Amino acid sequence: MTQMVLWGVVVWLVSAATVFGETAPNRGRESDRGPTFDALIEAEKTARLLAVLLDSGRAVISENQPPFDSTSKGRKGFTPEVFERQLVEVFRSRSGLDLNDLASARLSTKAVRLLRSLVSVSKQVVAEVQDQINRSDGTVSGFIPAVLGARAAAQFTKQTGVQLKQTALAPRNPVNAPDPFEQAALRDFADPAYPREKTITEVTAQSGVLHLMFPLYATRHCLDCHGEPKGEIDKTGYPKEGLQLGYNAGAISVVIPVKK
Amino acid sequence: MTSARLLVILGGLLLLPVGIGGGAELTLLPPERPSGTGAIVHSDGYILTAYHVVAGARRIVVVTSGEVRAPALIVSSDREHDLALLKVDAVGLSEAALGYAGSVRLDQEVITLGFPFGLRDISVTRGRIAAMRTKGVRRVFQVDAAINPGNSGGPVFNRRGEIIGILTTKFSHPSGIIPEGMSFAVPLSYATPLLANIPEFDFSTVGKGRRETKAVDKNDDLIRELARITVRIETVRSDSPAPATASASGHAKAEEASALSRSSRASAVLPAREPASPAAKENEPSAPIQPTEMQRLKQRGVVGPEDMLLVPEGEFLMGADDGLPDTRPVHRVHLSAYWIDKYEVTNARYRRCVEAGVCQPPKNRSPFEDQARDQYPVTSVTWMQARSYCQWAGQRLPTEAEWEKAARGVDGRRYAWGNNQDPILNRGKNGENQMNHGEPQPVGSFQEGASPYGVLDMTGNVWEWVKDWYAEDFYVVAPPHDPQGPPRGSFRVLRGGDWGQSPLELQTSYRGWDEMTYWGPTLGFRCVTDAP
Repeated sequence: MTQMVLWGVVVWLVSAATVFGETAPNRGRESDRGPTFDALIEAEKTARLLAVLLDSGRAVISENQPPFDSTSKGRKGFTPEVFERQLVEVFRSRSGLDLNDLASARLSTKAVRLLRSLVSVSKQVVAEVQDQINRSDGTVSGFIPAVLGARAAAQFTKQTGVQLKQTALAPRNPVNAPDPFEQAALRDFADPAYPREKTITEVTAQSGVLHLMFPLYATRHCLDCHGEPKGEIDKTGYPKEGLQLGYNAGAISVVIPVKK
Repeated sequence: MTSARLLVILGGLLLLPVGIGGGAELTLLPPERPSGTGAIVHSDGYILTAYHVVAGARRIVVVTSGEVRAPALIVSSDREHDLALLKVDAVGLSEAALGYAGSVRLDQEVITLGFPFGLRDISVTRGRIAAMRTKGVRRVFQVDAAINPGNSGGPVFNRRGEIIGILTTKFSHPSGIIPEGMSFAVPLSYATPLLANIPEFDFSTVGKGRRETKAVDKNDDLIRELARITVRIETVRSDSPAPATASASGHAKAEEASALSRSSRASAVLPAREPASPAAKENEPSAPIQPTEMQRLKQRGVVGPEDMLLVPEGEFLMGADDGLPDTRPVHRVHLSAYWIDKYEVTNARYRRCVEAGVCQPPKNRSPFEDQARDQYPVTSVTWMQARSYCQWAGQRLPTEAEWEKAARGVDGRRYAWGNNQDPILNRGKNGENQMNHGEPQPVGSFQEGASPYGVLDMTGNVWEWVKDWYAEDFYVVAPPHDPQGPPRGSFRVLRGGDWGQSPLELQTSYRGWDEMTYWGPTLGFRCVTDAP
């Protein structure tokens, strides 16, 4: 048992090290050795695509929510493969990229690897919840977009060292509470005049990471639990937030290393 | 030597009455006030600066390091990225070397030059690229060098003396605190479309280092070189009071602020007859390319049709993911340039076609025949009648894509004016509000509702017929270039909505439809025509 845990840790360390071998460098002020603007724009693009992909997975779960919650049918047929097919479609419509043909997309190899990795952990999460989805005991499945988002993000972060996180000004899960940068971005997103789907990013010479915030918007399905009337208890037992259709509903936060 | 030559050239210019407002007005204008800094990017008198430095300026004067003053015109501007290209009538100026922004490194050393507080002495500041930030449509370098008002629009150089960015104040630090000891610069790469306005500009020299005629090994020499291409910019704002009526400075200040918020109206690229909108502030144009394009067409001698506005060639986001199924998916559509009616076709305009014996009168003739309603949109017309009118005018009905792009610009906004629902929700809450009427209003009544291209009444007033057949799933299969709609169908698309509609139906992405023989009191149209 202990051995297994140890192995897990070792495997994680190794994978993190091979993917992002860069460790904290000695930053001397004397050199002009930071990453170039071009490299930063590429990293920003990668981070944005990861956010779009995580949110696409959430959208697929959202679209399939009614069958999950139905108690009349045992097997819902929502296999990891079905999920992946739908994910590919949603991601294609939102990013213009085909997940099955990333090689021909004009992306850095790092970006391709990260995207594939996120697809695979998302599928893995869907595989893990099959019993939960297919239960026929009359209870609600509880497998909602945020659950996929949280579990896939955690797994992805562990595997790649790239941090993915769902956050909001008043998140239900305290783990998702925003840091100061995220808080500032969320306040900007909350302004209805803020341009839609435009990200907010920061990369400083000190941090060595690019931090990107990707805004999310309330859809019809979101509102079942997060809509009006504010304060009413939803099916998961939380009070509703009173969100309105099309308005900002939090963000996906991505932290990606940019050191050479 | 160079500066002596410059002195002669610019000095000579001062004797000519080249003021923007014309010679007679010149003497009435108040004196110029320091506004910012700029850099000479081409020896033929082209100066790059920040847009906000010259926004709303009625007169712009460039002052060189040798205190030579010359009037300047705006050649091209990009409000979104806060950049402007000016021109003074001169040749043979010392020009800056331009760097390649893509190779700027985080943490690299930079030098900024400028005229803080409008002082005459140039100040040199050294700093580093401390961060790169993106917010909305703006992307900037954060420079940890102390910059003061007046430095705005000034150049940021790398150690080789190449310009890599232009200082901007149009960016706020995420903390919301006014930054001290730091500043933001627009990467020079965003100036490329502006620089393209310089005849035969040689982009191959960008990033190739300074064209050194003599060795610059000493740092002092470099700074002296950079100072020669850094200029001070002074302006007279369009709303500045004439000297005779000059009032308290507090008042003047407020007016200056409002002049700043006003778009490029004064930049001579928009039609002069366009009435100034008091609500321009609410309508930040998201299509900075439009003035550039119009300027280019104007230079080619092409003048747009009367009361039509240019929608430049390019991509926009069509559809909405949070709307109804028929607006999905949001997809990129590339359209060729076209002109679109600024206003919906009015009764008066339609009448000319009826009188010409081409158009049939509207199905309900009473509002049409009411002389008091000349400036109201023509209504109660079928799709065929709408098409006949446009054909008679030598134009055509817009495609669905053309209509949507003209209404929402390129940033995917929900309503012509932006994403704010309040103008819709608040209608009827005050008596003067133009929007709460059970019937159409005269065209252009709701100036605040202008689209990014300045097109009026795209949200509300009346529904507008467009060319396309309606198909619910058309966006799934739509071609990415100049889509013309499905080849056949049963219904024609209606866009824009009238003021009786809900916020959802008033979205620029909302697709109404009906039989082409349908007509009604809230149903009109406008025309488009191809741009050369």
